[in-house]
Amino acid sequence: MSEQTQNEPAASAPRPVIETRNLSKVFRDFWGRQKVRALKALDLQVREGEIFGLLGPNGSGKSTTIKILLGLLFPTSGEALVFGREATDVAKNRRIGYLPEESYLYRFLNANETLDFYGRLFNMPAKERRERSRQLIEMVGLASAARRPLKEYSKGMARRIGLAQALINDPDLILLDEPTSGLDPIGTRQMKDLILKLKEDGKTVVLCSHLLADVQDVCDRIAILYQGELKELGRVESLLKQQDITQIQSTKLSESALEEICQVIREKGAEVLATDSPKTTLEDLFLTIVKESQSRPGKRVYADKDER
Amino acid sequence: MIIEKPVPPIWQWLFGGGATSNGLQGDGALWEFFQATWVLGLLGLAIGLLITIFRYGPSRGWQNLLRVLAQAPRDLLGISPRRILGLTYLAMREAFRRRVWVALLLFFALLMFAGWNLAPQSDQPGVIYLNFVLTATTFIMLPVAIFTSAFSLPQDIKNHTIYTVVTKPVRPSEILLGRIIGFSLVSTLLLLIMGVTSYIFVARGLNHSHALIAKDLIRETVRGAPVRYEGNTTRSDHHRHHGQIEADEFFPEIELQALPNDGGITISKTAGSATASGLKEGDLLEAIDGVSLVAGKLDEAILSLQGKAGTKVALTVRRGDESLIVDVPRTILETFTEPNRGHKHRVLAHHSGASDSGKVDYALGEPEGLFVARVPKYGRLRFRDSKGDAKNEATWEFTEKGTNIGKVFTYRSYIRGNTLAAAIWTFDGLTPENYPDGIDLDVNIRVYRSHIGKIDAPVAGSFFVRNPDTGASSQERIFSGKDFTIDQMKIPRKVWNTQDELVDLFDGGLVTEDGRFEVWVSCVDPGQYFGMAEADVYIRARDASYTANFIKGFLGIELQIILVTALAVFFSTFLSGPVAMLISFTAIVLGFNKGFLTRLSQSVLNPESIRQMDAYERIYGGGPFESFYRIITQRNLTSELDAGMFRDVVKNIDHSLMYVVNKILSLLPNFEQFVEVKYLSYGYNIPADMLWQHFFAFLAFLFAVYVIGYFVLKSREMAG
Repeated sequence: MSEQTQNEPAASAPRPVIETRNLSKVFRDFWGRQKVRALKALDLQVREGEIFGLLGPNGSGKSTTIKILLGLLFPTSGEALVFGREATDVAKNRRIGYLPEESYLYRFLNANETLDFYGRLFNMPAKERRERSRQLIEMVGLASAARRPLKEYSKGMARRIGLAQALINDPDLILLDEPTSGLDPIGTRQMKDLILKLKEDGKTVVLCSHLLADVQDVCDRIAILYQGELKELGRVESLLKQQDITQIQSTKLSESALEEICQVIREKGAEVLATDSPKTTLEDLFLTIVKESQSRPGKRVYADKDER
Repeated sequence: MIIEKPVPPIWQWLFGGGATSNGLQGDGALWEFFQATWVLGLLGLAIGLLITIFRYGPSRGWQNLLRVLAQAPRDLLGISPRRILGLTYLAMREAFRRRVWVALLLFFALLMFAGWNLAPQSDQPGVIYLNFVLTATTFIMLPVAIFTSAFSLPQDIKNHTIYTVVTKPVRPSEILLGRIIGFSLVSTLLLLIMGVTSYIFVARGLNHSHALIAKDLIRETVRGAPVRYEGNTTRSDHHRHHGQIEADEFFPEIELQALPNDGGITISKTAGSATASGLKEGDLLEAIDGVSLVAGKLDEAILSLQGKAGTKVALTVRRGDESLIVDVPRTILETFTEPNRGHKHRVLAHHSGASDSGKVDYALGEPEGLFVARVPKYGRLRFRDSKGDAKNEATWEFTEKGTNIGKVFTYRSYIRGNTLAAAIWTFDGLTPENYPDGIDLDVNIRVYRSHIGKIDAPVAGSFFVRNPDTGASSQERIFSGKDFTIDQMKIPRKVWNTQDELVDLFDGGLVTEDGRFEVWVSCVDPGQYFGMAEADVYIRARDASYTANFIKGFLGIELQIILVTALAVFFSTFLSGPVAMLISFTAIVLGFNKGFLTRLSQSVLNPESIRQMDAYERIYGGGPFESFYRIITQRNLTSELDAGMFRDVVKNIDHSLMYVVNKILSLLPNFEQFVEVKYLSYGYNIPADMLWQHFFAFLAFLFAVYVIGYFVLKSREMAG
């Protein structure tokens, strides 16, 4: 790729939905003294239609970045643009859906009232609000609890209604702060499937999480922050790819055939690091068992593999 | 009731012009509003800039300020009704969740206990009852309004529920408005319930009746024939009334009307016992007690209806083709007991048969005069001094003030008895069309006694009517001036003039052609004084609806409550719940003392004009810095400070400080001003001009709260 084409985006390249330039945030106390430097000169670009993950340990600046993008915090210096508008401009919120880290909703309202309220904030007419609320409540599986006040909801249920309110306006950009926290593995899988579905529908999703497996499963690109600084940025596949290691997968390979292959590798001057049967993930195992149990209720015959 | 400042017409209040008594408010409220907006706007910009520079540095600070200013017009004006409705509904739900209805329980409990011992011996039970319910309502609702509105926003910010709201396309202005409207609607609902309850409580609490029992009545006779019965009513609600009944003044309960072209006399209206006897409206009256009527002689017909208590009159009437004879009992018409405790009762028809002595028992109607809404028409007051000297001989102009008897409260001026001193009211706009039956005057006199005399006896006064252009006047009438009572005097259409002629009030030259006349009041008893203020004598043009007045009174409270709600919501945009609540309470206390603060700032800013005003109005000792200087140098309030640079510096600092204070005061709600309650409880119609005035003041204040609250909320980080 030539120097010129690297700098100039191709005509078909997706437009940036989020752009931060030299974004910094300093938290100060009442007297103006610096307490924490939460973000240091962050340059980011999230493109239309991708799933972007913000990773980092606690206090790395993920939530601060999301809050600045939402206009909940103001940048100390630099710029934060969403859909080309300043993050402090409320007009940009029309195309944004936001699921906060915990479901900060009015606990005295029920699911219907909650969605109706947020629908009103998007200036949606009554008929559209009703229709959209019904769809979303069905989608997040709360139809049977739609008339119960949120204070009676479990954490998982609160998360689901939180997600429903984030999608009430059919947003183009969805910001999810720890989307899978508090969800059981089934809920987690549903959430991940939903995120992928949103991408299919052409939405842009930004999520921040420290559950790395989840991020790995869904994200196209990630940024890793540490102490307010951007440490890594790129496509998940290419970041995780170990360039100088080759993995061969095969079925029904005999011990002797394996030994022969290893021999060939050594003869070619390479080193065999390991030969092993790959493991499934715990999530896959759990979901398989739950699926089986749903189709065949009753006692399941399980094998204690350690004993064997 | 004391009305220190007359209520100017609303346009004059808004746009200025017209003479004001103290000359301080000549500019009009709208101009004051613009000035205050200007001062506050500049002040707000300066403070905002300083804060943002302090936080973000000079270049970023300017940038932030310009950005906020650029977004402001769209945010303030481009509000969406649907979003506001959503936020309003949320605020209402929140208020109910906070159990605001407990206020109602408290109010009901208060009413229950108040009913037992509310002013049983008072002379003005109506005033006390109304004051009680209105004060209770205000003082229960004010804290409720503050509690619900001061904690809402801080709680949302603390619980982070605000995150899901401000990340929607919601403008800060809408968050403010939604809350103010929502909480105000809840208060309105509570106030409505309290209002209806209060109305029923007052009406039922004061309603009572008496009876005039035959054995309590004394018969007055002339040449052996009874002419009058008089005595006291039965005791009810801790009082009695004196009653007097003319022996022959009994009529059937009908109204007669002479038909045109000698078409005879018809019964135009029937009521009570007459209807019960079988008379109908439209019956043609032919004969009374068998005596045929003379066509066109309505007066004679009425006289022959008159008779004694308990008797009946036989009326021959024609209804269609048939002729009927109906026996109709005679009852009392238009007879009242004497007033006591601010009301009187109508004497109704007798309810038992006449005894041999002609005495009968009488039932009395409901109290009248307790629930009134007088509409006074005020005149302009000037005084003639004891020697009768005019201030200006050519224009026959008198002084504006009477004698000062040494009271600090100089609201009333006094005139000395048995001298030429007089208080002169000039009224205008009098036409025979508006006053076909003459003019009702309410006279409310304060008596100052320089010697005790007979302490129970009223002090005699006199009054007459005079044409200010020609000097033609009526004969003097004597009245008895009693402290703290409103004497009702009627100037009939036919009055005796000084030439001993019975003339028409309007056609006889006592009123000028453009409808002006003067009422001259003087004190007759030597050595005693009458105290007068402009609002003490007025023409009682008509009575307005009491219920409408009651509603207007509650509207006054409603405006106060909404103001407090707005204020508390405003403080909660930048303060925590408890602090916002405390500051709101402080603002109310200041608001109730706004009059004092205004006088203080005026005393510093315009010492010359204030010097001409009453001692009561002026506050001595200068502003805060001068006062402090006086304290540390132990000088009294009135002594002049030594001239010098130090004095000038202190005075200048005070002057600039008071200028700012004065402008800020213009935008502080004045709760003292909301005196609808006073009007209502004293039985005066709340002037529409006053209600408008308060409404505009209220709007101006809401505007300020809205704009400043918006900027605060806009520049506040909701997270972190």
